[in-house]
Amino acid sequence: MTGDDGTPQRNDAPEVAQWAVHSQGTSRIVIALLAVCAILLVADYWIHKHGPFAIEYWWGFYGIFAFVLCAIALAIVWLLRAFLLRGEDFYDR
Amino acid sequence: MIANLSPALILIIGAFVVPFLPRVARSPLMLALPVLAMLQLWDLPFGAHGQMELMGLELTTLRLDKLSFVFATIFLIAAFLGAIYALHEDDVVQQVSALAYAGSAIGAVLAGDLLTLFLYWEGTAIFSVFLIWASRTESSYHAGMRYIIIQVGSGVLLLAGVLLHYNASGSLEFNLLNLDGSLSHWLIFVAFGIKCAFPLLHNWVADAYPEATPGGTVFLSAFTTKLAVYSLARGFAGTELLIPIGLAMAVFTIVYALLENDFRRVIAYALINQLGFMVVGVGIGTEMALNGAAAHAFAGILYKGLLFMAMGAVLYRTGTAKGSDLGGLAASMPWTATFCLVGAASISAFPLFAGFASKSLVLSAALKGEYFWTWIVLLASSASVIVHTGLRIPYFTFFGRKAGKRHDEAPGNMLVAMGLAAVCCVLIAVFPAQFYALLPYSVEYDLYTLEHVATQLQMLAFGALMFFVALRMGYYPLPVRGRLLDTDWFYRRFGAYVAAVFAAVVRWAWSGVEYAWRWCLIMLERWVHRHYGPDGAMGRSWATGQMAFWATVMIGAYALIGYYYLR
Repeated sequence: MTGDDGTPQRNDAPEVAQWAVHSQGTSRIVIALLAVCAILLVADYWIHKHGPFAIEYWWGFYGIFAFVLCAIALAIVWLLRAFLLRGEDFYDR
Repeated sequence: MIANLSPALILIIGAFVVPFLPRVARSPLMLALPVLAMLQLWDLPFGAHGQMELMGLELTTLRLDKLSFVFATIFLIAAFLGAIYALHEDDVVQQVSALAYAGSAIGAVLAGDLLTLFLYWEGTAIFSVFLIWASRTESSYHAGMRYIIIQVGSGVLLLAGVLLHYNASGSLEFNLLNLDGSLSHWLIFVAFGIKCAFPLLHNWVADAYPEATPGGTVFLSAFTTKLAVYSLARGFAGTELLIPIGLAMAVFTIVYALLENDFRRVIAYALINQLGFMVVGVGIGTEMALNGAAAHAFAGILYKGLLFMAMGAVLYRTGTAKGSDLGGLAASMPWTATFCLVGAASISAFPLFAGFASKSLVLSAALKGEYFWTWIVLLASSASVIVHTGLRIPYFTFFGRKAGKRHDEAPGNMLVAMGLAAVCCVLIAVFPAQFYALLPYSVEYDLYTLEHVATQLQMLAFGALMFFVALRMGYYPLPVRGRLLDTDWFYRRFGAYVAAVFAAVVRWAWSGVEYAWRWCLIMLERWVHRHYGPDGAMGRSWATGQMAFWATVMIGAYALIGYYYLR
């Protein structure tokens, strides 16, 4: 969905996709994943690592790294979105 | 089988027999040719075959070693799966071009010299474009034109590099070239780089692949880019420049995959993302890293093909592959959804799925070589796959929305192709030893250690958590209609501006020339009028005395000239 000037608008996601935000299912999945992540974090305590870099040996490094990284990626996407995403007919105009 | 016959020729010759066959015979032939070529490939002993001399040039048209064998094998598997997937389409153009394209890619991989490589290299460009045009839409026509210009451009650079290389070294053999500062090697490197979708040269993948037919995209995703990875592994293994290039590919595509709405285009960006891992592997250049690159190409062809097949099936049934228009299809297309999940698990490198078996090799090679930043960036890229492709595509296509339009399940042949690809994805990860035995170098790698599995599961679980948390909180970029700016802006918009400005300058300059010309003509006309007009010196009648005077002057002048000339 685009505004008058052809730029996409943030809260203008098509109805079709809105279900994903508000569905109760998402909350349940989040809770389940939190449990899985907690178990994996606890289990990390007993896992022997063999890599050459000290950072690997930090407790829960892989999980926390992935989480933070994905958060950063999403933040960058929000920043670049307005610049990169144009109207669907951008090249046809 | 016939001794020394290239498996590539079986496909290419077969491709041109296809149009002359009755409809019922075409489909069986499409399936039989990759099988025949596979039998021939496995029958051939390792070594150089098909040597010939052409205008004084020594050519080796068929070289089989472990590196070319693994690529030729996966190309033939891809051709077979693609043929099954496209079985329901009775389109001779697609059948011919798909077979000839696959044959060219295999021929290029088996080429022992650079000239043969060039010929097949151009073959992949020319035959593949028909798969894009086969959509028969205006946008696919334009995308195909852009695609063929870029692909042929790569071939021209390759030819220039090959000729310069031959001039300097006197040899056409295709072995390690290295970037030693010679222009020829740089030209060849850039030619490979274009087909390998190096950053800034990458856009043709995301531009053209999603414009092809569902079956065409499956073929396209398998060959061109992986042929380039093979060529880099053959010619530029251990070139350190490839490491930052590969890392850039593995990083910038994350943003594009997260924002793109057309899910086949998302997979195309994910394809470039995964190519980054292969390029880094080639750049590191150790045996383990090259194994990793080859393994990741092998696995990537399977799971990227599977994802393209699944989205192609969705496109075929619903008429769209755009995330903003999809949702809740799992009820209508349960098998497609299952296979798509297998592909998604594979690309996310879930243990027991293809990506895990191959990506681990590249990451471990970076660890072993103590490339800290390379490893960190690859790990980051690997962690983000689940957010931009692994969950995004299946979630927004198949789940969530309770009530949706009902659609039929994908046709049987599509399901069979997806099923086989899914089985392959699982098999190579469940039996990694057998898979690694195919690789160019012997590997001692224990894939299923507690450390590998646990750390990978941690990354996947936390990545998935971020996906759903962001979704729940409204920070996940939902698929919305729109067009992403990419480097094609430079030739589709900026190039158009430049052309418009250039045209204006030329028009202005031309009008200046015209004005000056008209002014000259007017001046000439006035001058003529002044001298030859009714009152002009040359126009009016002269007195006899004046005539006699001028005649004397002329004769005098002749006499003088004659005197000086004859003296």
